[in-house]
Amino acid sequence: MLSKRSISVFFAFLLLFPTVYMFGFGAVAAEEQTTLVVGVMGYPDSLNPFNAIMSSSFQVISLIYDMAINGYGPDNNPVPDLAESWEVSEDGKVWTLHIVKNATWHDGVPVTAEDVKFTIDYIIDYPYFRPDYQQSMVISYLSTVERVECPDNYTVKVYFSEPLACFRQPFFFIVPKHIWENVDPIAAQTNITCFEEDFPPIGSGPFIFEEAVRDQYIKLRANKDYFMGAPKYDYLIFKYYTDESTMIADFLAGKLDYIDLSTETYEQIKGQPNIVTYAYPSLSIMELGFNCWEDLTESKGHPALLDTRVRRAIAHAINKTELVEVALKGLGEVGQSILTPQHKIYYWEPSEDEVIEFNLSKANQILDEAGYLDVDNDGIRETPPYILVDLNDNGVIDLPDENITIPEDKRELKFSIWVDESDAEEIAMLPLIEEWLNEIGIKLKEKNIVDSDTMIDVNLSGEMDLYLWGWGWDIDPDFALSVFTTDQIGWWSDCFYSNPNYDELYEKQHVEVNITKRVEIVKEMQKILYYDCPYVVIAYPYSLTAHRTDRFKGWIDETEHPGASLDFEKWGYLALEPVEKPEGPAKMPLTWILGGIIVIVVIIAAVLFLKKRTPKTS
Amino acid sequence: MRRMGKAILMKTVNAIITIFAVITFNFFLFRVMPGDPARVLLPKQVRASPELIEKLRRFYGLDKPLHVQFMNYVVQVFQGKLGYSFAYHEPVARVIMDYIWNTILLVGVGEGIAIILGIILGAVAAWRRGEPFDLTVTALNLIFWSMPEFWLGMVFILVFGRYLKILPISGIVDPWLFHENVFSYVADVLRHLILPSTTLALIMLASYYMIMRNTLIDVTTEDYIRTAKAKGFSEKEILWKHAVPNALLPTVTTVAIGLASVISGALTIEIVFSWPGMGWLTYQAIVRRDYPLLQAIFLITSALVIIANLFADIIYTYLDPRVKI
Repeated sequence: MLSKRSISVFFAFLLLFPTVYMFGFGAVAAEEQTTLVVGVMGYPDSLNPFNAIMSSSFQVISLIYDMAINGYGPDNNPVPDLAESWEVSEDGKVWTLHIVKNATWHDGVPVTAEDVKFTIDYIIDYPYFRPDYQQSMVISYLSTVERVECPDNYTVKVYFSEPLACFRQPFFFIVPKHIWENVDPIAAQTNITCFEEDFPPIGSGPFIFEEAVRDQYIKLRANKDYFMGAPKYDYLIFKYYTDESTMIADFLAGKLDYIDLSTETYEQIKGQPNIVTYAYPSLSIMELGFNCWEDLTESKGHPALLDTRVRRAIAHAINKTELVEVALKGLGEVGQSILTPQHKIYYWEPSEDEVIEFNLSKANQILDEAGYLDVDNDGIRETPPYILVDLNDNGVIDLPDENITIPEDKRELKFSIWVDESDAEEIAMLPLIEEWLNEIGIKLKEKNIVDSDTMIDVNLSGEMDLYLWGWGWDIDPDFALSVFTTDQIGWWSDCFYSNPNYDELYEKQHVEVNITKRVEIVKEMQKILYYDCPYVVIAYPYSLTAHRTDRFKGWIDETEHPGASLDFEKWGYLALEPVEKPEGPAKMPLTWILGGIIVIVVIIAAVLFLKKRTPKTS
Repeated sequence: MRRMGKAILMKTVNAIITIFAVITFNFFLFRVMPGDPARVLLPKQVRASPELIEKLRRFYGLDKPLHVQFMNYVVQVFQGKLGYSFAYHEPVARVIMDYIWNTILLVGVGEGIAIILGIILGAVAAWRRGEPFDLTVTALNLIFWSMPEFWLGMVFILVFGRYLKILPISGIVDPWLFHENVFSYVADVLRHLILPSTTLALIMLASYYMIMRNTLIDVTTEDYIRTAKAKGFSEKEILWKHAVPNALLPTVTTVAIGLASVISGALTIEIVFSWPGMGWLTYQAIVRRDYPLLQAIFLITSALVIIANLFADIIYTYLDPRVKI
């Protein structure tokens, strides 16, 4: 059965590897192009700016498409993009954008004001079909647009029914009218991903889409006619990974020029030759959230969490400094407000006597005074049979029924907590938080570490008591602030916070175009949230990146210009240029030697094996 | 021979019935899940309006009576319409086609090496039972068998990718290479295949090796082997012509089971080497709650396991005339 022949076949099979490998290798490395290679975890879900969700999608989209006004400049400031300049009318209701005259779409058609008008109309005409992720965020930048006019080919006038503050730093990409006008808007916002072979993404940006292979790579070609100046290299490749340590091995081996890092890997990479690491401040927050849903017929949360004093006591029991040191390894800042210091003028910071400091005895004191006593002496406090939810310092709690009857099984202050499994830092925080809560007589009864989709389910249905989660905000504070409004319950709100006073302020800042006045309102809103504690903001984690200096130069310091990071906008990509002598990524001689050795060994083995058998069988 | 033909026919009919059972199970599994199926079909983050739900119910035919739905489902399965993946915004069949070949290549080569090498080494080790060759190879096999596959993969990544820098450790091709001909492309793919398939082969080797070795040890104590020795056949001849064919039977069963994983993929190896295959796709379908995709993967995997077993049965009858099916 298994004769000499089968064995020879087997060896021939083994030989296949090295021979084909050697045979083809010369041809493989023949052509040298200057190529920037970026390693990324997680393949984009879509290259269609109308329905993309993942941040890895926008990393690519922002290179293929341009915005009109670009809200995300190198210093997180609004800068000209397709609109080279703009004016706002006195009342803030008319914006006039002047479009550059030398921009073209990747298929050669010139970019005109009509394209900008078309894009805005396209978004505002069908805003609610898919009111989930990005679309609803995009729409908030256009929510009060009434109509758009084009007096000439290079001027766009946007008319607002009410002034829209966040239009100053918008986030939406301009698409070509001549391509999208034939596309059903519902399809555009649901099924089309621009990965379709017959519908590639056509933009006006610095890179032209060339090829995408799912879960492997996306290849872009430099747009040599880019109106801001062509990129100084030929190709840009995003290579996607499913395992971070593999990506880092490739990076250290010199195959990748730029990667994002996690807290664990940052120290490991630091200080290697030809490698520079950055930890730059981002727009992200990490928070301990509370279920504040006042509708007790729907909410499955613990009613004691509706009492601001309980939430405030917990806030006093969280040692943020230690969490940043231990869980984030110091790669972040201690969090206070729900906005980040990167929101610059909008950011509110509590002064020294305003701060809710880490103080366990104060936390205990607040709970004692509020009547949450350990009646049965088991170390866990009990809720009084009724909570009289009193008005807090700002007088803002407004419950439909101020007396809440506590069901017998929810008397004890035992809370469930939910954590996203993909967030190693927050999982590391869990035991510390549990310990501090124990010291103020609060128990964590369930610790659920679940996948992101389950987190979303649990949050939508109001099943949780506490949760650890995070946000990456837009640069304009509007969306971040909206998350805490009553209207967002059932949509983007995860804490079910509701406060009419806050809602009113939100509407006010939404239409306030005077920056000084808006800043004032925005700061007041942050202060309300800080003391009402729907969130305890634990940290502002840094974004961690690394790049190689042996193949490209001109890297922008991300710690100084976070907006120029290669993670989201094109500025960093445009600044890069190859160093004079580009080194090929493959180490040719060693490869040849190894391939040769394999071939020789296998041939010798095969010959010996067959030779040894021959005399006996014949 | 005619009886055998009939038996094979019966086996095939059995397999077809089983596949139908799987299809039925798949259909109802999807419908007994809590909640409105139309809601389940939507991504979780969408808060759907009643009109949208109604529209979707009609779109997916969920407004029709159950038996009509079932008939439609069966017809669609045979037309290759496996539904629409909302995680990938594409027909499920097309998504699967993107991944299935990657898996067949990786697991096919890995398992192939493991099977061939396992049988040969197992046979030699059994023949030289107790000798240094047997002891060494058995020990090595058990060591690899006990290793977590992702760990072995990571060791390879460190050694070959990071320190020696001689083999690619991620993906299927190097996207920065510009291939001039199809040979250089094939060579690139093969280069990428070396580490993941070797990892898989080393891990899987023991299961074929141990079965082959142990069965063969049993076989070599049989009388007809002694008879063959008495007749003066050479040792090698007795081994390969008399003993091995009889020892192959249990190995065929193991191979049939192993080949099923050609389709279901080798998740951890795929993840470590960023090799997008069926294991990774299944994992993504679960994580992203892509029910239509998951349903199709279940169906294809079960159908292929059934078919693989059918072939194993048929091969069995040829290898061993004593087996009546």
